[in-house]
Amino acid sequence: MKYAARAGTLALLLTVGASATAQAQEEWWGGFTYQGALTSGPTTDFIDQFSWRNVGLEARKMVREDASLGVFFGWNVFNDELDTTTSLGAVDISGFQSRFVNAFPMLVTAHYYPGVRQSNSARFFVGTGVGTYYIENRAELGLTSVTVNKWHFGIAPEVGVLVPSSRVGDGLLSVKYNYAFEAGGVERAYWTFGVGLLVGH
Amino acid sequence: MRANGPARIRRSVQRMAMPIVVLMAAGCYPGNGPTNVEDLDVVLTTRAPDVDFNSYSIYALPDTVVHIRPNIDEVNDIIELPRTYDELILDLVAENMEKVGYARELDPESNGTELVLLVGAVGTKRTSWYMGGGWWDWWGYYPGYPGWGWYYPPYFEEVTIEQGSLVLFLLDPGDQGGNDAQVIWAGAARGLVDTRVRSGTRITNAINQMFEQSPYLGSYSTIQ
Repeated sequence: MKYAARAGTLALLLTVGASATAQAQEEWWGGFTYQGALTSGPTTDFIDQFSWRNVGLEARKMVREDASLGVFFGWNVFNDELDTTTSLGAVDISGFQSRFVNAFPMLVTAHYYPGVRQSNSARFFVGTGVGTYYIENRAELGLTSVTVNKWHFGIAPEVGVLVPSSRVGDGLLSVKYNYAFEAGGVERAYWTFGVGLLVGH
Repeated sequence: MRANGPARIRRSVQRMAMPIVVLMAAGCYPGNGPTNVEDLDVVLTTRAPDVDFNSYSIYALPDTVVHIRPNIDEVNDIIELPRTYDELILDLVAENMEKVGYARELDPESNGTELVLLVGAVGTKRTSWYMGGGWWDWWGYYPGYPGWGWYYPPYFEEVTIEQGSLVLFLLDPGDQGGNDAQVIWAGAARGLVDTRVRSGTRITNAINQMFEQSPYLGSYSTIQ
Protein backbone atom coordinates (compact mmCIF):
# COMPACT_ATOMS: atom_id res chain seq x y z
CA MET A 1 0.00 0.00 0.00
CA LYS A 2 2.83 2.30 0.90
CA TYR A 3 4.68 1.66 -2.33
CA ALA A 4 1.47 2.06 -4.32
CA ALA A 5 0.96 5.53 -2.83
CA ARG A 6 4.50 6.48 -3.74
CA ALA A 7 4.03 5.13 -7.23
CA GLY A 8 0.95 7.32 -7.62
CA THR A 9 2.90 10.40 -6.62
CA LEU A 10 5.66 9.59 -9.07
CA ALA A 11 3.16 9.40 -11.90
CA LEU A 12 1.81 12.84 -11.04
CA LEU A 13 5.26 14.37 -10.95
CA LEU A 14 6.04 12.97 -14.45
CA THR A 15 9.70 12.64 -13.68
CA VAL A 16 10.62 9.08 -12.75
CA GLY A 17 9.30 5.61 -13.53
CA ALA A 18 6.08 4.16 -12.30
CA SER A 19 6.68 1.57 -9.64
CA ALA A 20 9.19 0.76 -6.99
CA THR A 21 10.48 -2.72 -6.70
CA ALA A 22 10.08 -4.72 -3.56
CA GLN A 23 13.84 -4.98 -3.41
CA ALA A 24 14.35 -1.15 -3.32
CA GLN A 25 17.08 -0.33 -0.84
CA GLU A 26 15.86 1.67 2.14
CA GLU A 27 17.89 4.86 2.14
CA TRP A 28 16.99 8.37 3.08
CA TRP A 29 18.64 11.77 3.21
CA GLY A 30 17.75 14.88 5.11
CA GLY A 31 19.47 18.20 5.10
CA PHE A 32 19.55 21.88 4.37
CA THR A 33 20.78 24.14 1.66
CA TYR A 34 21.95 27.69 1.71
CA GLN A 35 20.90 29.39 -1.49
CA GLY A 36 21.52 32.36 -3.64
CA ALA A 37 18.42 33.42 -5.53
CA LEU A 38 17.82 35.51 -8.62
CA THR A 39 14.45 36.96 -9.55
CA SER A 40 13.18 36.10 -12.97
CA GLY A 41 10.31 36.73 -15.32
CA PRO A 42 7.28 38.43 -13.75
CA THR A 43 9.06 38.95 -10.45
CA THR A 44 11.50 41.42 -12.00
CA ASP A 45 8.65 43.86 -12.55
CA PHE A 46 8.41 44.19 -8.78
CA ILE A 47 11.93 43.36 -7.61
CA ASP A 48 14.91 42.76 -9.85
CA GLN A 49 17.58 41.46 -7.50
CA PHE A 50 19.96 38.72 -6.49
CA SER A 51 19.37 37.67 -2.91
CA TRP A 52 21.66 35.97 -0.40
CA ARG A 53 18.89 35.40 2.15
CA ASN A 54 17.57 31.98 1.31
CA VAL A 55 17.44 28.62 3.01
CA GLY A 56 15.99 25.23 2.19
CA LEU A 57 15.23 22.09 4.16
CA GLU A 58 14.60 18.82 2.41
CA ALA A 59 14.39 15.10 2.82
CA ARG A 60 14.62 12.38 0.21
CA LYS A 61 14.07 8.66 0.28
CA MET A 62 15.26 6.27 -2.36
CA VAL A 63 12.40 4.30 -3.84
CA ARG A 64 14.61 2.73 -6.47
CA GLU A 65 18.30 2.53 -7.08
CA ASP A 66 17.96 5.55 -9.40
CA ALA A 67 14.99 7.45 -8.04
CA SER A 68 13.89 9.18 -4.90
CA LEU A 69 10.87 10.91 -3.47
CA GLY A 70 10.99 13.67 -0.96
CA VAL A 71 9.78 16.94 0.43
CA PHE A 72 11.23 20.41 0.33
CA PHE A 73 10.56 23.49 2.44
CA GLY A 74 12.21 26.79 1.80
CA TRP A 75 12.29 30.48 2.65
CA ASN A 76 13.41 32.97 0.04
CA VAL A 77 13.66 36.67 0.75
CA PHE A 78 14.00 39.44 -1.79
CA ASN A 79 14.03 43.13 -1.06
CA ASP A 80 14.79 46.31 -2.84
CA GLU A 81 14.82 49.99 -1.98
CA LEU A 82 13.97 52.55 -4.60
CA ASP A 83 13.82 56.32 -4.71
CA THR A 84 11.98 56.79 -7.94
CA THR A 85 8.71 57.77 -9.55
CA THR A 86 6.16 55.05 -10.14
CA SER A 87 3.28 55.48 -12.55
CA LEU A 88 -0.06 53.82 -11.96
CA GLY A 89 -2.30 54.85 -14.80
CA ALA A 90 -2.76 58.60 -14.62
CA VAL A 91 -1.18 58.81 -11.16
CA ASP A 92 2.54 59.38 -10.60
CA ILE A 93 3.99 58.76 -7.14
CA SER A 94 7.47 59.66 -5.91
CA GLY A 95 9.13 58.71 -2.69
CA PHE A 96 11.37 56.26 -0.91
CA GLN A 97 10.03 52.77 -1.56
CA SER A 98 10.87 49.50 0.11
CA ARG A 99 9.72 46.35 -1.58
CA PHE A 100 9.78 42.84 -0.14
CA VAL A 101 8.99 39.37 -1.38
CA ASN A 102 8.94 36.47 1.05
CA ALA A 103 8.40 33.14 -0.65
CA PHE A 104 7.78 29.88 1.22
CA PRO A 105 7.87 26.87 -1.12
CA MET A 106 6.36 23.64 0.19
CA LEU A 107 6.96 20.92 -2.36
CA VAL A 108 6.82 17.22 -2.92
CA THR A 109 9.89 16.26 -4.88
CA ALA A 110 11.04 13.47 -7.13
CA HIS A 111 14.57 12.98 -8.41
CA TYR A 112 16.20 10.68 -10.92
CA TYR A 113 19.85 9.65 -10.63
CA PRO A 114 21.12 8.42 -13.99
CA GLY A 115 24.04 6.09 -14.27
CA VAL A 116 25.35 3.31 -12.11
CA ARG A 117 25.72 4.14 -8.48
CA GLN A 118 29.23 3.88 -7.17
CA SER A 119 30.41 4.48 -3.67
CA ASN A 120 32.44 7.62 -3.03
CA SER A 121 31.64 9.09 -6.42
CA ALA A 122 29.58 12.14 -7.24
CA ARG A 123 26.06 11.45 -8.36
CA PHE A 124 24.23 13.67 -10.78
CA PHE A 125 20.46 14.08 -10.41
CA VAL A 126 17.58 15.74 -12.15
CA GLY A 127 14.12 16.18 -10.78
CA THR A 128 11.28 18.44 -9.93
CA GLY A 129 9.11 19.57 -7.10
CA VAL A 130 5.40 20.22 -7.16
CA GLY A 131 3.39 21.90 -4.48
CA THR A 132 2.46 25.25 -3.16
CA TYR A 133 4.17 28.57 -2.62
CA TYR A 134 2.98 31.02 0.00
CA ILE A 135 4.27 34.39 -1.11
CA GLU A 136 4.07 37.70 0.71
CA ASN A 137 4.52 40.83 -1.38
CA ARG A 138 4.86 44.13 0.41
CA ALA A 139 5.50 47.64 -0.84
CA GLU A 140 6.16 50.50 1.56
CA LEU A 141 5.96 54.14 0.56
CA GLY A 142 6.15 56.84 3.18
CA LEU A 143 3.98 55.76 6.07
CA THR A 144 1.85 53.52 3.88
CA SER A 145 2.39 49.89 3.10
CA VAL A 146 0.47 47.60 0.81
CA THR A 147 0.67 43.86 1.33
CA VAL A 148 -0.57 41.17 -1.02
CA ASN A 149 -0.28 37.59 0.28
CA LYS A 150 -1.19 34.69 -1.97
CA TRP A 151 -1.04 30.93 -2.10
CA HIS A 152 0.23 29.72 -5.46
CA PHE A 153 0.42 26.37 -7.15
CA GLY A 154 4.02 25.94 -8.21
CA ILE A 155 6.64 23.74 -9.77
CA ALA A 156 10.40 23.65 -9.34
CA PRO A 157 12.50 21.70 -11.84
CA GLU A 158 15.99 21.07 -10.55
CA VAL A 159 19.37 19.70 -11.51
CA GLY A 160 22.26 19.04 -9.25
CA VAL A 161 24.93 16.74 -7.95
CA LEU A 162 25.53 14.90 -4.72
CA VAL A 163 29.13 14.88 -3.60
CA PRO A 164 29.86 12.15 -1.09
CA SER A 165 31.87 12.99 1.98
CA SER A 166 33.08 10.64 4.64
CA ARG A 167 33.00 13.31 7.34
CA VAL A 168 29.78 15.11 8.19
CA GLY A 169 27.54 14.14 5.28
CA ASP A 170 27.10 14.45 1.55
CA GLY A 171 27.48 17.76 -0.17
CA LEU A 172 24.70 19.01 -2.41
CA LEU A 173 24.93 21.44 -5.28
CA SER A 174 21.78 22.33 -7.15
CA VAL A 175 20.14 24.78 -9.50
CA LYS A 176 16.40 25.11 -9.30
CA TYR A 177 13.85 27.19 -11.17
CA ASN A 178 10.91 28.12 -8.98
CA TYR A 179 7.71 29.05 -10.70
CA ALA A 180 4.61 30.08 -8.81
CA PHE A 181 1.59 30.20 -11.06
CA GLU A 182 -0.63 33.21 -11.15
CA ALA A 183 -2.93 33.72 -8.19
CA GLY A 184 -4.98 36.84 -7.72
CA GLY A 185 -3.11 38.59 -10.48
CA VAL A 186 0.29 37.86 -8.96
CA GLU A 187 2.82 35.58 -10.62
CA ARG A 188 6.33 34.89 -9.37
CA ALA A 189 9.43 33.13 -10.63
CA TYR A 190 13.03 32.94 -9.48
CA TRP A 191 16.16 30.84 -9.68
CA THR A 192 17.92 29.35 -6.67
CA PHE A 193 21.50 28.14 -6.54
CA GLY A 194 21.96 25.89 -3.55
CA VAL A 195 24.93 24.62 -1.61
CA GLY A 196 23.98 22.20 1.09
CA LEU A 197 24.56 19.28 3.31
CA LEU A 198 22.60 16.06 3.31
CA VAL A 199 22.94 13.44 5.98
CA GLY A 200 21.32 10.12 5.79
CA HIS A 201 21.11 6.46 6.49
CA MET B 1 25.62 -1.04 20.89
CA ARG B 2 26.16 2.52 22.05
CA ALA B 3 27.55 4.76 19.33
CA ASN B 4 31.17 5.78 19.71
CA GLY B 5 32.26 9.31 20.54
CA PRO B 6 33.12 10.63 17.06
CA ALA B 7 29.89 9.31 15.57
CA ARG B 8 27.90 10.90 18.38
CA ILE B 9 29.64 14.19 17.81
CA ARG B 10 29.01 13.99 14.08
CA ARG B 11 25.30 13.38 14.63
CA SER B 12 25.12 16.29 17.07
CA VAL B 13 26.69 18.60 14.53
CA GLN B 14 24.30 17.38 11.88
CA ARG B 15 21.28 17.95 14.08
CA MET B 16 22.37 21.45 15.08
CA ALA B 17 23.35 22.57 11.63
CA MET B 18 19.84 22.78 10.21
CA PRO B 19 18.22 24.98 12.87
CA ILE B 20 21.33 27.16 12.97
CA VAL B 21 21.06 27.86 9.26
CA VAL B 22 17.37 28.67 9.56
CA LEU B 23 18.04 31.05 12.43
CA MET B 24 20.82 32.70 10.49
CA ALA B 25 18.51 33.29 7.59
CA ALA B 26 15.90 34.81 9.88
CA GLY B 27 18.48 37.01 11.54
CA CYS B 28 19.61 38.36 8.23
CA TYR B 29 16.12 39.58 7.35
CA PRO B 30 16.50 42.73 5.34
CA GLY B 31 14.91 46.08 5.78
CA ASN B 32 16.97 49.07 6.68
CA GLY B 33 14.01 51.09 5.46
CA PRO B 34 13.79 54.86 5.75
CA THR B 35 16.40 56.37 8.02
CA ASN B 36 15.54 60.07 7.77
CA VAL B 37 12.33 62.03 8.09
CA GLU B 38 12.74 63.07 4.46
CA ASP B 39 12.62 59.42 3.41
CA LEU B 40 8.96 59.34 4.43
CA ASP B 41 7.97 62.22 2.14
CA VAL B 42 5.68 61.24 -0.71
CA VAL B 43 4.71 63.27 -3.77
CA LEU B 44 1.72 62.36 -5.91
CA THR B 45 0.34 63.94 -9.06
CA THR B 46 -2.54 63.09 -11.31
CA ARG B 47 -4.21 64.59 -14.34
CA ALA B 48 -7.57 64.41 -16.00
CA PRO B 49 -7.66 62.25 -19.12
CA ASP B 50 -7.87 63.71 -22.57
CA VAL B 51 -6.83 67.22 -21.58
CA ASP B 52 -4.72 69.23 -23.99
CA PHE B 53 -2.52 71.28 -21.68
CA ASN B 54 -1.08 73.11 -24.68
CA SER B 55 -4.42 74.88 -25.07
CA TYR B 56 -3.85 76.75 -21.80
CA SER B 57 -1.37 79.52 -21.18
CA ILE B 58 -2.81 81.81 -18.50
CA TYR B 59 -3.54 81.03 -14.87
CA ALA B 60 -4.46 82.83 -11.69
CA LEU B 61 -2.96 82.07 -8.30
CA PRO B 62 -4.65 83.29 -5.11
CA ASP B 63 -2.28 84.99 -2.67
CA THR B 64 -3.29 82.71 0.20
CA VAL B 65 -2.68 79.10 1.10
CA VAL B 66 -5.95 77.66 2.33
CA HIS B 67 -5.44 75.88 5.63
CA ILE B 68 -8.01 73.33 6.68
CA ARG B 69 -8.48 73.85 10.38
CA PRO B 70 -10.02 71.56 12.94
CA ASN B 71 -13.51 72.23 14.13
CA ILE B 72 -13.23 72.81 17.85
CA ASP B 73 -16.75 71.52 18.32
CA GLU B 74 -15.88 68.13 16.91
CA VAL B 75 -13.44 65.41 17.82
CA ASN B 76 -11.25 64.76 14.82
CA ASP B 77 -7.67 64.15 13.89
CA ILE B 78 -7.07 67.44 12.04
CA ILE B 79 -4.45 69.75 13.44
CA GLU B 80 -3.59 73.28 12.46
CA LEU B 81 -0.35 73.77 10.59
CA PRO B 82 1.78 76.87 11.02
CA ARG B 83 1.76 79.46 8.24
CA THR B 84 5.52 79.85 8.40
CA TYR B 85 6.07 78.52 4.90
CA ASP B 86 3.00 79.92 3.10
CA GLU B 87 4.94 82.59 1.29
CA LEU B 88 7.64 80.12 0.27
CA ILE B 89 4.97 77.76 -1.08
CA LEU B 90 3.27 80.41 -3.19
CA ASP B 91 6.57 81.69 -4.56
CA LEU B 92 7.68 78.19 -5.53
CA VAL B 93 4.38 77.38 -7.20
CA ALA B 94 4.50 80.60 -9.22
CA GLU B 95 8.11 79.99 -10.17
CA ASN B 96 7.38 76.48 -11.40
CA MET B 97 4.30 77.56 -13.37
CA GLU B 98 6.40 80.20 -15.10
CA LYS B 99 9.05 77.64 -15.97
CA VAL B 100 6.50 75.36 -17.61
CA GLY B 101 5.30 78.22 -19.73
CA TYR B 102 2.25 79.69 -17.99
CA ALA B 103 1.67 83.41 -17.56
CA ARG B 104 0.14 84.57 -14.31
CA GLU B 105 -2.94 86.77 -14.47
CA LEU B 106 -2.78 89.20 -11.57
CA ASP B 107 -6.29 90.61 -12.00
CA PRO B 108 -8.50 87.69 -12.99
CA GLU B 109 -11.69 89.39 -11.83
CA SER B 110 -11.24 92.09 -14.45
CA ASN B 111 -9.40 90.22 -17.19
CA GLY B 112 -10.59 86.67 -16.69
CA THR B 113 -8.34 83.64 -16.70
CA GLU B 114 -8.08 80.23 -18.30
CA LEU B 115 -6.99 78.35 -15.19
CA VAL B 116 -7.00 78.80 -11.43
CA LEU B 117 -4.38 77.18 -9.25
CA LEU B 118 -5.57 76.55 -5.70
CA VAL B 119 -3.14 75.71 -2.90
CA GLY B 120 -4.20 74.11 0.36
CA ALA B 121 -2.66 72.54 3.43
CA VAL B 122 -3.96 70.20 6.10
CA GLY B 123 -2.40 68.49 9.06
CA THR B 124 -3.45 65.26 10.73
CA LYS B 125 -2.56 63.66 14.00
CA ARG B 126 -2.88 59.98 14.71
CA THR B 127 -2.36 58.36 18.06
CA SER B 128 -1.88 54.66 18.59
CA TRP B 129 -1.54 52.74 21.83
CA TYR B 130 0.58 49.66 22.41
CA MET B 131 0.71 47.48 25.46
CA GLY B 132 4.02 46.31 26.83
CA GLY B 133 5.12 44.44 29.94
CA GLY B 134 3.70 41.16 31.16
CA TRP B 135 5.94 38.20 31.73
CA TRP B 136 9.56 38.76 30.80
CA ASP B 137 10.02 35.33 29.32
CA TRP B 138 6.37 34.88 28.23
CA TRP B 139 6.16 31.42 29.62
CA GLY B 140 2.85 32.08 31.23
CA TYR B 141 0.51 34.64 32.65
CA TYR B 142 -0.12 33.24 36.14
CA PRO B 143 0.86 35.83 38.74
CA GLY B 144 2.19 34.77 42.07
CA TYR B 145 3.75 31.48 41.01
CA PRO B 146 7.43 31.24 41.85
CA GLY B 147 9.86 30.23 39.17
CA TRP B 148 7.88 31.66 36.24
CA GLY B 149 10.29 34.47 35.60
CA TRP B 150 10.03 38.15 36.42
CA TYR B 151 6.61 39.74 36.11
CA TYR B 152 6.22 43.36 35.06
CA PRO B 153 2.83 45.03 35.31
CA PRO B 154 1.53 45.91 31.87
CA TYR B 155 2.15 49.43 30.68
CA PHE B 156 0.86 51.36 27.72
CA GLU B 157 2.91 53.24 25.18
CA GLU B 158 1.56 56.07 23.09
CA VAL B 159 2.83 56.75 19.60
CA THR B 160 1.69 59.95 17.94
CA ILE B 161 2.29 60.73 14.30
CA GLU B 162 1.67 64.19 12.89
CA GLN B 163 1.55 64.51 9.13
CA GLY B 164 1.25 67.54 6.93
CA SER B 165 -0.21 67.52 3.43
CA LEU B 166 0.17 70.17 0.75
CA VAL B 167 -2.29 69.99 -2.14
CA LEU B 168 -2.45 71.84 -5.44
CA PHE B 169 -5.47 71.88 -7.72
CA LEU B 170 -5.24 73.28 -11.25
CA LEU B 171 -8.78 74.13 -12.14
CA ASP B 172 -10.44 75.03 -15.42
CA PRO B 173 -13.25 77.27 -14.17
CA GLY B 174 -15.43 76.73 -17.24
CA ASP B 175 -17.97 79.45 -17.83
CA GLN B 176 -18.09 82.53 -15.64
CA GLY B 177 -20.81 81.02 -13.50
CA GLY B 178 -18.52 78.27 -12.27
CA ASN B 179 -20.40 75.55 -14.12
CA ASP B 180 -18.45 72.87 -15.91
CA ALA B 181 -15.48 73.58 -13.65
CA GLN B 182 -12.95 70.77 -13.94
CA VAL B 183 -9.78 69.91 -12.08
CA ILE B 184 -7.34 69.08 -14.85
CA TRP B 185 -4.29 68.47 -12.67
CA ALA B 186 -3.62 67.89 -9.00
CA GLY B 187 -0.50 67.53 -6.94
CA ALA B 188 -0.06 66.47 -3.35
CA ALA B 189 2.87 66.14 -1.01
CA ARG B 190 2.75 64.45 2.37
CA GLY B 191 5.27 64.03 5.12
CA LEU B 192 5.87 64.07 8.82
CA VAL B 193 5.50 67.36 10.60
CA ASP B 194 8.81 68.08 12.27
CA THR B 195 9.87 71.66 12.90
CA ARG B 196 13.36 70.54 13.86
CA VAL B 197 14.15 69.25 10.38
CA ARG B 198 14.73 71.20 7.18
CA SER B 199 11.05 71.76 6.49
CA GLY B 200 11.69 74.54 4.02
CA THR B 201 13.99 72.33 1.97
CA ARG B 202 11.54 69.46 2.10
CA ILE B 203 8.68 71.68 0.91
CA THR B 204 10.85 73.08 -1.88
CA ASN B 205 11.85 69.61 -3.04
CA ALA B 206 8.25 68.39 -2.91
CA ILE B 207 6.83 71.24 -5.01
CA ASN B 208 9.63 70.97 -7.54
CA GLN B 209 9.06 67.23 -7.74
CA MET B 210 5.35 67.76 -8.47
CA PHE B 211 6.20 69.73 -11.59
CA GLU B 212 9.20 67.60 -12.54
CA GLN B 213 7.05 64.47 -12.74
CA SER B 214 4.37 66.33 -14.72
CA PRO B 215 6.16 67.27 -17.95
CA TYR B 216 2.85 67.19 -19.81
CA LEU B 217 1.92 70.50 -18.16
CA GLY B 218 4.16 72.35 -20.53
CA SER B 219 7.75 72.95 -21.52
CA TYR B 220 9.32 72.09 -18.12
CA SER B 221 12.94 72.83 -17.44
CA THR B 222 14.84 71.67 -14.39
CA ILE B 223 14.45 73.96 -11.44
CA GLN B 224 17.84 75.10 -10.10
